[in-house]
Amino acid sequence: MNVAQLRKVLAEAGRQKEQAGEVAASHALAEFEKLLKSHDKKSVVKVAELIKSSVK
Amino acid sequence: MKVAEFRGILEDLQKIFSAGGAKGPAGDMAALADSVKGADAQDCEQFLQGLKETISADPGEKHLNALESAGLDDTKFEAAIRDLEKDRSLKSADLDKVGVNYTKSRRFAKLYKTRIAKLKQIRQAFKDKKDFASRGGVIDALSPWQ
Repeated sequence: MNVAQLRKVLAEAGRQKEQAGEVAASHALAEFEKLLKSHDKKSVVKVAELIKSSVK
Repeated sequence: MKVAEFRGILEDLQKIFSAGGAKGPAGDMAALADSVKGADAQDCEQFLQGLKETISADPGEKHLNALESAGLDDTKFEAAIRDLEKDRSLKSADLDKVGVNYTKSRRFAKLYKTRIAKLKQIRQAFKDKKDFASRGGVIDALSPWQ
């Protein structure tokens, strides 16, 4: 799966959280989806590695 | 909301993919959930803000985000523009991207050739935005050139 596909999943999950009234979760998913935009062509695993290295 | 809760959402997505037999996406979601594990105790909003700056593929993006999120707040804008002014690693083309997106002028790169002129114009765009907001946008809304 690439990041563009992941962003669609996150956007849908965000919509469902919003409908469920989980505003914080919906907002977090939207923010996460937005910040991944510039990595659309990369694989999710690559981006996960990038995130992991920045968390440490 | 803590990052741990956010990680829980990613793990839920992983479970959904697993249940549907989509092993590849399930593995991707697991890797993603695992990647944020080290930040479990952090506030999610702050974590995502920090992450935005560290994993940004576009060197100008963090500056553009800072400028745009400053809105009409003088203090926040001043902090963002000073950060941009200090960032000497930013290439001219990257500064142009920031300028084009912030000023909404597609001719930004052609009109402003030097670094000083580009930064000055970004400051001017902020002043214009404030001015526009204070006038309620009436004059600009009536202008046929907008």
